[in-house]
Amino acid sequence: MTTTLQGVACAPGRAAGRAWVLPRAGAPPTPSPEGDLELAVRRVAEALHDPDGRHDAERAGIHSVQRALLADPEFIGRARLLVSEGLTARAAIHGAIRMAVDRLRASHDPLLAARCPDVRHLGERLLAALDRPPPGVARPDRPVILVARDLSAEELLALLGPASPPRPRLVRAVLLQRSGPLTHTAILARARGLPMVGGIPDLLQRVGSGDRLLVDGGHGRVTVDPDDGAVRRFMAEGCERTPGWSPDGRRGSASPRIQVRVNIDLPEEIRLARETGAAGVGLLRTDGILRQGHAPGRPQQAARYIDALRAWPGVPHVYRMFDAPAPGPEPALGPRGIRWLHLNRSRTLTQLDALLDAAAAVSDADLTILLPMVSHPQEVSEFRTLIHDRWQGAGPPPALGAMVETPAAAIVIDELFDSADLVAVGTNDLLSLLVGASREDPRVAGLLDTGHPALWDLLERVGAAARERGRTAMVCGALAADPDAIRRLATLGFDAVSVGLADVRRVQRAVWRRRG
Amino acid sequence: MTEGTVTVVNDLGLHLRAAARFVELASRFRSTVRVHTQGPPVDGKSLLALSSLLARRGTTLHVACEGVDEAEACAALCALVASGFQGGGAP
Repeated sequence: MTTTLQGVACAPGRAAGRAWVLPRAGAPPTPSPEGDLELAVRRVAEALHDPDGRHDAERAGIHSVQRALLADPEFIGRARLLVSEGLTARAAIHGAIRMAVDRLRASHDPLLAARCPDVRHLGERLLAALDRPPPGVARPDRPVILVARDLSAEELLALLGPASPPRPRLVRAVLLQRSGPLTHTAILARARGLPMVGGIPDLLQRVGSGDRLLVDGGHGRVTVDPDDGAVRRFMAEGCERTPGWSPDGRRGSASPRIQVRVNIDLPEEIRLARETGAAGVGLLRTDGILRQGHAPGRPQQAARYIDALRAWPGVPHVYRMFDAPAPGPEPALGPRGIRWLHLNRSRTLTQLDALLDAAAAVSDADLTILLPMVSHPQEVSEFRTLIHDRWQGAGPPPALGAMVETPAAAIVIDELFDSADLVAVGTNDLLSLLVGASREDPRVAGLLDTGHPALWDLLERVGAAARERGRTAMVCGALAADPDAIRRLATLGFDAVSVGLADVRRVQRAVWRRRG
Repeated sequence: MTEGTVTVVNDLGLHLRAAARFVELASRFRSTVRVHTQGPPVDGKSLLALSSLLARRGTTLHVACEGVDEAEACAALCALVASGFQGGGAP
């Protein structure tokens, strides 16, 4: 019998296939990721140690550079920082190597750039010195939809193998009983374009190996044992061939331009984001940097924002202030977004100062600081004053943006634009509040129709106000990845949509096709 | 704090391997080591920071050491640079 499971959307994309429940050989011992890194550093340092001068001058020179890097606070210190932020040792080493290589390249000094291979080689040594992937990770022998109670990013990486060279994909989608969109497993899934749904209650009781599944990662929905009609409909709506989209460009070339920007969760994803060819960062959620109970200081935060701004120059960067995870059964109605920022002033000021430091340090950066869950124009004007009071850089301070996620914000859009340079409409929350239906409750989920006239009425207001005032209007959320909706948004006066890493190419193709 | 000024004399300047020798020597001292040319000072125990100075032949390096062994550190590091990064400069 067909059943539908509702979980939490972790990575968009759709997949159909058979379930494969990850076999576990007991609980694998999981060494602490920090321990891994220190162990690897010790092993490599020992290998590089050459007290008797046995190596020739060339080797000795390379080794001395690698030894110095192993003790360099700006290299290994950065890797340690990334580990303390929750990255695996493997990811932290990759991150530190990339940053070091980027830095040498950025010097535009041929001698320094020529040493990049030595740096990369050190990274390879460190990765090789890390413990092998945890035991107990088996591999499927045919393309499957992976089902597990929980899965670390490390384990998923071991299952997927390296990103290049490309190989036939054995894992088509990931379904987990635990996990959420901010986990590193979810970030990895998004980066690899792999649909993922987490937080599915009783998943292991309800799905067994071999079950037929339809996965809609963007909506966090899984259909178990679908009938043939459901499979046909699902396949017809497949991701690459979007429904209702005709390649002939019916209203084509007359439509205004609309940019496709990209959403990311960590500054370190900026390099992946750049590779997608998007027009800029539409949304950096800083919630991954500032998790509850863990707040890096101003210089540590600023360093990561600076890295991100420098890594992708010449494009707009929109960084959202910490958006507290919603507690309780009525998530949208509690102290979320800017309300939380007001209640936790010292943490808010630390983050704001770090963002301002970054904007001051990268003088040509196009940075917008975005406020989540705004419901009153005064919230934005107060923040604008705050920025003016605290800005110490030369020239004008960074731009200020407001998320339109409450109907109130959309209705007072004109007043909002008195203080905001940009608005970003979060259509998921806006729709939920507008029709009064929870996103978490499958019994009312049917009401959340992105074609609802009330939603489009508000979008029209926002687009018209932005056009009239010459400000930027952007849409994030599920609507942003729907080509039909994008066409309407462009005609309403929206300048950009911002979509997940895995969606950029698809949405760009749709937008370009329309223009041509 | 002990400060010293020294000119880079070797052909390749403060390239990565020369910087590695500098870092290696600096790290043998307990003092903090800061180095600057025109701009703000950088950590003399960080290879990446030092190489970002892009100090070529003829560039003047300002070395500032602070700590229990600052005088020895400053003298040894300046001697290393003056030797074209050939000297052992053992403390």
